[in-house]
Amino acid sequence: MISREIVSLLMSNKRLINTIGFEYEKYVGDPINTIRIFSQFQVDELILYDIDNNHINKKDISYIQTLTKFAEMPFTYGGGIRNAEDAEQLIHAGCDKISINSLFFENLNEVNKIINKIGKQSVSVSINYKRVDNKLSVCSNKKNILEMTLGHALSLAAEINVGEVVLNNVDYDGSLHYKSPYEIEEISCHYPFSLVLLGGNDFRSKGKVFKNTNAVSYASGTSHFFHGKHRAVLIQN
Amino acid sequence: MKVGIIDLKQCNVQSIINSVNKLDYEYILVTGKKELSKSDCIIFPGVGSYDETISRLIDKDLFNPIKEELNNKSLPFLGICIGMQILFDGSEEGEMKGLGIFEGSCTKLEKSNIGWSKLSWNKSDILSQNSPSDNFYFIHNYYMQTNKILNDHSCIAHNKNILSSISCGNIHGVQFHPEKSYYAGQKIFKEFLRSMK
Repeated sequence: MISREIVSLLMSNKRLINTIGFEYEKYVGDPINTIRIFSQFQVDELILYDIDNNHINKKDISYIQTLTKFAEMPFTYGGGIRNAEDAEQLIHAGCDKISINSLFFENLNEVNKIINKIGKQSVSVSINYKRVDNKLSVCSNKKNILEMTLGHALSLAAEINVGEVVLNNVDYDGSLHYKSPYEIEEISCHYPFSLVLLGGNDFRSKGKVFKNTNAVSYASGTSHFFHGKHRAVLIQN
Repeated sequence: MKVGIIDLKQCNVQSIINSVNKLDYEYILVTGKKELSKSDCIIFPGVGSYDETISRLIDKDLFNPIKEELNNKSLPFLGICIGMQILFDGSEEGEMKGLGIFEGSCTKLEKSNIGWSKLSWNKSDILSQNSPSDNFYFIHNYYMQTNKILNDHSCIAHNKNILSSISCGNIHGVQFHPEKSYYAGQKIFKEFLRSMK
């Protein structure tokens, strides 16, 4: 299986934004138009994170269904998924995978229920992490450090048997200078899930930063939107 | 001609609707026997766990009618991912019995198989019209081993030992997702639906 190059989009109030270190939001485009363009680019996959959504509702699902009508690529949605019913409705609406974050740290029983309904291959766990005192620690969407090491979170994901883990390096969010903690790429093949690295990747430099490209896939957002030293917004692939 | 899309309120139905719409065919969502009888062919969408999918087919009183149609080869069928796996006797993923159209049981992969891959087609069939350089999107945890498939089925494509496609008469199953494989995938739908005419 070839390593995947995944486009990662952040959505806030139905607007696509870009952040630096989870701050300094900048508007970069309309979700429908952007997804249509990436469909034309025939990207490997696309992940859409709705960063404001605490609990997805019928209107949200209807909107996501509108988006998936334009998503010819494999499509993952994350944001406000609280239970198995939410997950099923999203798959029915055209998502290929659902991505969970808070639920993974709050309610593993519900994550297991989701796996039992839609299959583990369609359950992706998104984990934000940063380096604190020379240790890799997990943090919440709001950048708060949780009392959990990244190693422990990865072991938990392996234990409950999810299909994919997206590791988001908060320190490099919005930058184009990825420096992976070397051990992540080295140990990735030992986990029973597919591993995706996000944060600081520049899609144009694939192969330069990843020594072990078949063991991991990578996702990038910023580099798809900004062009030149003045960071002019231009969708590219 | 109406394309029946099985709708168990769980599988990825919208993506199949998108593909069928693009080819300008009419479709009907099959949620029970009534819609099944109005369908000229069936597409069974992917995504779902084995037991949950079989349970819902039984609850909607679709399990036996579909099995009957497939045994009589009276209704052309394209099963995608879980839609292909339920054509076999069972799977390690669950305890429930599949439709049993093909012999064998699906086994667990060590690691989820997610991503793009080329196929090698070893027999010619309506699904094998794509170029060898075409890539298809896979996302699955369980698989059927190619070396356990009987040779008399008309088309088997495989990626290493993972059965990627199987056909017997007008019954077709694909492990990959044609609805997410851009032009190469669309060609699969096109050939399947053209064969109905």
